[in-house]
Amino acid sequence: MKELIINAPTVQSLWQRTTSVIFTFIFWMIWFFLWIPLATLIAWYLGLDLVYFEMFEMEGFRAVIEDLFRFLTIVTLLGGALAVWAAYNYFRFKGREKRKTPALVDHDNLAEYFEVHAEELKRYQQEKLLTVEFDPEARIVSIQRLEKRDLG
Amino acid sequence: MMEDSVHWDSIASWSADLWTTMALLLQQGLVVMKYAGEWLYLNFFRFLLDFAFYYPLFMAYLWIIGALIYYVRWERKEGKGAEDLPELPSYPPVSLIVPCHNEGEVVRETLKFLLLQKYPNYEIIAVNDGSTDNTLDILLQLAEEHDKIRVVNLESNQGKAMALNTAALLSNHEFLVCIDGDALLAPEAVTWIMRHFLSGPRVAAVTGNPRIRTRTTLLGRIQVGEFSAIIGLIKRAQRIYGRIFTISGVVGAFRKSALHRVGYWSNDMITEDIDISWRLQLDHWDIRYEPHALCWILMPETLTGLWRQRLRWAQGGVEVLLRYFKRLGLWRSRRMWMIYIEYLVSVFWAYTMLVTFLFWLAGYVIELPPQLVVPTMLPSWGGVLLGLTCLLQFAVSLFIDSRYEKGIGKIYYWLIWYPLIYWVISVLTTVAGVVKAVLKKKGARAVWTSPDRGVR
Repeated sequence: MKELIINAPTVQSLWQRTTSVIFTFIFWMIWFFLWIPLATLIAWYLGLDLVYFEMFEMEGFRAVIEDLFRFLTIVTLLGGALAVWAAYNYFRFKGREKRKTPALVDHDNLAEYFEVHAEELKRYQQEKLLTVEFDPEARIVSIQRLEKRDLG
Repeated sequence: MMEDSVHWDSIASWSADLWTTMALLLQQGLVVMKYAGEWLYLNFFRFLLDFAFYYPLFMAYLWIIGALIYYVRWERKEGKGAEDLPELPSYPPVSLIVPCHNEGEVVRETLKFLLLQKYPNYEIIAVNDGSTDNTLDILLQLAEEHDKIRVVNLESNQGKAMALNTAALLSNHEFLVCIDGDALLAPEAVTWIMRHFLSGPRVAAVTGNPRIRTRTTLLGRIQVGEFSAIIGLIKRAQRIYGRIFTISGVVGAFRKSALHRVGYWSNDMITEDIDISWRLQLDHWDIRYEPHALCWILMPETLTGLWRQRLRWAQGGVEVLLRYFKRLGLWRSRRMWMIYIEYLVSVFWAYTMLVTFLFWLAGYVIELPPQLVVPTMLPSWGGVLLGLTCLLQFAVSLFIDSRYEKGIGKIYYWLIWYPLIYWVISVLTTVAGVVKAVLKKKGARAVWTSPDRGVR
């Protein structure tokens, strides 16, 4: 598996590598910036008062709790619906197989669909090297054995 | 005579009543519409803003929950990982198909990997689709060295769909596993795939688990996370809905008799993989996702390459949405509705984001009526939620994925970029993709695009 993953840092310059690392770090910081409200809450816990005033004196926490509650309800409903649906399908179709195995496609079906000669198709399918010619409407015009010498 | 006139009188009075009632209803209707209109005017924009913000959030949870259900129900119980092969009741012969267009650089490795399959009975059909490089020479040389390899040469360039169709015609077997010319199929993959075909006659196709090889640059690493956290989670969740949006074109397997029923691959759709997935499922076939069927692929590592690829995907999705719109209205197509709605809503969301952003910008330049003001693009408590949700989604997906790749958790550090880059590219490509799909000339043939194959 090791050789499957291509991680060749040497292909990039030191500058490119360093900037990737640094910018990603900065972006993590920005990401945390999104959480300023949470940080503020923690700050309040640590003794800073403004949040206390906003959230409790002004009852700002009600809105947050309401939002969170609404949010959790929707997530539960969505997830629950999916779980119920999965369970329904499981019990409804468990061990039932209404469908019969489809008839295999044979030379005649294929030949008819692609407008080629059925007997010849049988032969082509046994060939190792083939070359196919098409018309402008993407219909097969000819199929022939490919000879290496044809390629010049 | 008398009876007749009474009859007509009662009809006349009925119809007068009917007209009065209808006029009343109309009047009431207009009042309701007036209020609804006012309400919409006052609230619709607010609703759009909420939708723009909450849509990715709720979808993330839907995917996480769906993927976890899938993991608990199936994946967890299936051996120790991809290399722990299942025992099959039988091993029917398989044709492995590799369409190639100018793959000279990579195709040797692709075919050598296919020869390593731990499956007893298979042939390999490499299709050279009018390449202008040395692809054909390499294929012929390999065919000479290995019995299993057959070569089909298309004299003129026909596109991937025609290459696949021709291979299906000339192949010997009922089961076709199709991979791209630059993809390396893990030696265990065919066995894992065949398990589904043998489990029941409903299964028409199986899509594998594409793993990204190119991880040198930031963009490469972000996509590793994307394939795990978005594509992998979505495919698992969609297996729970019962229908899959698309087979991955890079690694998909098909039952030939199912393909025959729906008429093989379309050569006028820009993403033939999405198209065939929809046609098979509209014909009531099942498509399965097999996470153990690993296929190692090369992805773009430049923004231009990524943009082109994603634009193609977006356009392809919309083309399919438009083409099968009518058939979806039927009750018998109901199992596809979830997938259809999911995609339609995501397209609507992309436009909502664009509108929101434009109004936000406009707010700085002109004075907008209060109900059209976008206060900020940075959500407050919502931001906490969104940030936590993303990190949770990555954690869940990397946890599930660590079954297939040890040490994938290290990618977590780089993933922080993903929401920004992905959602921005996704919004822009969807907006542009809709326009491209609508304006496309009807019946225009799809052609190959030379991909960006990353930094190597």
